Amino acid sequence: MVFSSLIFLYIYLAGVILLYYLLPRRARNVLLLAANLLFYFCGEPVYIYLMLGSIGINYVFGRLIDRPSALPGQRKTALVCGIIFDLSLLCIFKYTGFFAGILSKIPVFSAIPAISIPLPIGISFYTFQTMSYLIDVYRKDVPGQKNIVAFGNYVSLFPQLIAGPIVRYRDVAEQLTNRKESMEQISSGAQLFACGLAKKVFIANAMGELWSALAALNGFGGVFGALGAAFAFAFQLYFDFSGYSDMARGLGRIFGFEFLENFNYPYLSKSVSEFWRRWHISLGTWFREYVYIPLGGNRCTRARQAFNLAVVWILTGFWHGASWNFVLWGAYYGVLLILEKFWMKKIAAGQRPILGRIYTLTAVLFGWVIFAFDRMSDLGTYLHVFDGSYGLLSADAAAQITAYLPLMILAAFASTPCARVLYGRIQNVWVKTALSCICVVTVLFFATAALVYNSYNPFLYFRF
Amino acid sequence: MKRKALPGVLFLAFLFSIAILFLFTSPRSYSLREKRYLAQFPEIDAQVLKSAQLSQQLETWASDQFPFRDFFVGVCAYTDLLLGKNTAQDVLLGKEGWMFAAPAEYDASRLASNLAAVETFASENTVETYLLAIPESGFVYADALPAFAPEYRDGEFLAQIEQTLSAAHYMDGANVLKQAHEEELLYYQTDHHLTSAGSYRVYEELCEALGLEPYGRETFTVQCYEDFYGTAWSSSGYWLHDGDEIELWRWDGDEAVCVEIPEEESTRMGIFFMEHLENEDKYPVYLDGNHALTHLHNASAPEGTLILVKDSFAHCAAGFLARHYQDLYLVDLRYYKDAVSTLVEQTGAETVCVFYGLANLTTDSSLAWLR
Repeated sequence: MVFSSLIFLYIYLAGVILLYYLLPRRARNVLLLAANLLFYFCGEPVYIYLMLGSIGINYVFGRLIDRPSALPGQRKTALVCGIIFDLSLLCIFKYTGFFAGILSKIPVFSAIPAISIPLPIGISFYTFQTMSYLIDVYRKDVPGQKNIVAFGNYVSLFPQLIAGPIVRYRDVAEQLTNRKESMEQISSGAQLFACGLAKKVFIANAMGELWSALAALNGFGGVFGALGAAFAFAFQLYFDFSGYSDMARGLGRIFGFEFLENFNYPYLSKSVSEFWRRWHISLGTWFREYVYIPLGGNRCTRARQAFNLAVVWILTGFWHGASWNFVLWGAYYGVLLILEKFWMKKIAAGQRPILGRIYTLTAVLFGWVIFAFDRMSDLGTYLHVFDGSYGLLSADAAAQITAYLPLMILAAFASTPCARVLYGRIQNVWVKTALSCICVVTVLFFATAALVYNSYNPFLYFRF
Repeated sequence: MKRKALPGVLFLAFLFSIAILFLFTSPRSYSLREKRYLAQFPEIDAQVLKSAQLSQQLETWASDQFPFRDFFVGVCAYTDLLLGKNTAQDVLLGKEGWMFAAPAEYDASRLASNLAAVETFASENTVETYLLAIPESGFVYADALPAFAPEYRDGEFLAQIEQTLSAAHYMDGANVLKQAHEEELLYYQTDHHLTSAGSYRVYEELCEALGLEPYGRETFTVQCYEDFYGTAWSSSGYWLHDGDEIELWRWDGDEAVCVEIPEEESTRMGIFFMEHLENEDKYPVYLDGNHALTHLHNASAPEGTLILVKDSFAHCAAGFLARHYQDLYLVDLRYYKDAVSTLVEQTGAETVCVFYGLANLTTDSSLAWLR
């Protein structure tokens, strides 16, 4: 179930909200856990065991680490075991096929068959969350969770189960057992949710259509077609992912949770380092906190710093998917960030705003091109378009780009905080409220129309 | 109530009212506009749970049974149009209410193999074989296409067909349609088929090729029916757009033609199936739509037997041809799996005419069954 679907909005969500607020406060966590598990179950019935196992085992390790009587060595052993467990889950379910593919290229292992294990929903996100829990408890940043229902909710909370944000345990520890929902919080959550839904349904989906339409053309319809496709893909990714994060944060608020912001207008960044402080913030924070700083961070020699950055970025790339292009994509950012850190200090410090923005946008667009093609040969084909062998812009590509131009302009506008600033300038509180009401209802209405339309599937023997 | 709570209250009110409508509307089983059965609540068994299709099936159920489904489809179609996306379900909204099917996704090898099938048939059988391909409405009425419409390459394909055929005779329908397209409506505006007037122009060309004297327009009595909403209309979602008029060109004796549809074991008199005029899609008024084999018998006709290997583009023109031939067989190769050559032998037909919409000829594979 994705959030931008009719079944989620009008059956699941409506039902869960209703039951949640009908129940007394002490029963709400149990309901929420049941709802989370149902959500997970609908997506992957079989993997429900994986989720239950993950909750149970991490809970036990957390308790072991947290025992007042535990010796430092025992605590460490429990932590290491817990992390090995979480990482093995991730490796087995996400990377087995990838590594088997590499091994099978070596003559000795050529008998290894191609393996494809369906990826359990959200595994990349919740394994990172459980690891953050174990580490935080080990570092005594937070006390361990004694209530398994509350802990289960932390691991499986449906708003952020599928696509993050990766919530650090310490940020929600208090809310898990002790939160006060209010109508105002529900209201602001509803607005945030509507905002995310609009991003996803109106912009991201349309940009995805444009990207596929251009990708289907011979040579992307020429140089400008390929360029347009890259922009469409960049918009699709941003609005898809940040829309999803907004929906997640909005849903969280509806149930009384407050998650940290995950995106902060990344396409306006003046350097690549700044881009990564504004894009998928929760992932960046996770890697900084649990990989980069433990490796020594910046407090070491330049060579060691460069090594640390390289490790973090190759891992970040690999986290995005089990194929070589993601590794390449991560390495590409590793190189850019090392360059910025040691040689492009003025750009990195944001002292060259115009040049910096142009450079960042170009670098990021090129990054997305690497990200888009999981076969290297497709990337080659794409880059080949720019030598002009497919012309500048074919008629078909022009027609596609023209059809989506109004939405592209809207996307560019929505990539900036302009709308938010304008809204903030309105003085009259009633005008503000009225505007919010209109936006929420309009988004729901038209998003519903778009979702219904997607499923409109005439079987007309059209040509006959 | 606090001011800040208002948007949230509206949000919940919207969610709950649709949810309630959902619960209290009885499920629909069939959608007339989409011409398909709608998904019902999935049966949850071990198979479904294992295959992880549960959420997919639930989603299909929810969207198929969604309250005011057609209304929302229309809202989205018109909103997209307003935003400049004129490609609703592969329908291009042109000037003056024209709805064109987007150009067919031309498959070069498919066209080549279809033509090869016709050539083989023509050379292996003694009957005269003709081929007639009707171009798409967007090609003929190109001047009514919207700005930035994709290119219709029908002219190119027709030239290729003409060049390729040698054993079979090529008949040109495109020229006459192009020439006459401003005089009257030759295609429906909400459907991809030829109107009666368009079919009549093609029929005149056919008569010339087959050495027949076409009956003049004055020998027909035209009956006109309004509110024909064709397949382009029903797939686009543009519900506010007007429908077409559909004309029945009646002639003396059309009610005495016996129409036999073997697969349904039905035989009845008259080429028009008036019950279809009740529906939004009225095109099946001609010969009841697609059947594997349709046999028209007109005892008082002057000529012998003709076989049409056809898709639905031929249905209206077949009514005109029935005035000439005692026995007219319409074969639809998507459903008819016997050899057409056997049918030729059994019926003693001297002529076989392949009568297709060009879009089908370039995309559909069923002509491979022609043997």
